[in-house]
Amino acid sequence: MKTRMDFVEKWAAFVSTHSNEEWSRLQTELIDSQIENAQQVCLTKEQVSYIKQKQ
Amino acid sequence: MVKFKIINNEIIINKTITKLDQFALDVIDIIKKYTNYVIISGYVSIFFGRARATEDVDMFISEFPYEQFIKMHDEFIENGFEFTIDNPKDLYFEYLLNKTPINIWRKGFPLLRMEIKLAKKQSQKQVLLSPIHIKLDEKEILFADIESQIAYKRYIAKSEKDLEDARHLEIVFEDIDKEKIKYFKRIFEKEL
Repeated sequence: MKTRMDFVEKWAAFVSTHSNEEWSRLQTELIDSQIENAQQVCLTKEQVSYIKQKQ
Repeated sequence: MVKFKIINNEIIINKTITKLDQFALDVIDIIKKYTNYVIISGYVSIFFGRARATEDVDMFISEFPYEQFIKMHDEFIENGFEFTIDNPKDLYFEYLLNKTPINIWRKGFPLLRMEIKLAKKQSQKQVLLSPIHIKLDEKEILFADIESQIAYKRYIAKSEKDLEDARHLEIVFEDIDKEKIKYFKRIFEKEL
């Protein structure tokens, strides 16, 4: 069974063997979509502070 | 094959700038006018390709005078940022000097924050004094020494996410100095 670490290593190998343009384009899609999703939520700073305390 | 090689404490990189990178660059543009800084922790791995996002970019800064802090605070506010609390005097004396991190974010979007801590411990001052310089287009970002980040994540923080971050850095960086990792491990453990 593949572990999370196997995927981390596989991705790191991809980063190592592909151009900066190629891996960063894929990474940007992932990161920007997560940020855009988070922007939809519109939490207040009090709500974020409460969530952080609970973590 | 590895990707990144530090030459003369510097890496020049051309890559697509994420919204996370842009946020970090925007905060750094203001911070660097007032004090020394260095980026630490998860964002170091993410910048160099780790496939994950984060809600916090972590930064150590040098202590600097309250009068300068007020000017920096005002510049952030004028540029559309918010802080943990509104009162700058409390932010400086009750938070920053009291070893409590302060958070900065774009107004209305507190889910993406810069978490700023004063470098107080020996190890923190050390990484602040000897950063690696990352040139990204016309911009520069100062990151903590890669070996220090591997040591901290592998031996001190040790969560699943931290171990993955450390492994990523080990794979993508050339010439990782294992003795340096051991050196930082000893320093971090002493400070626990």
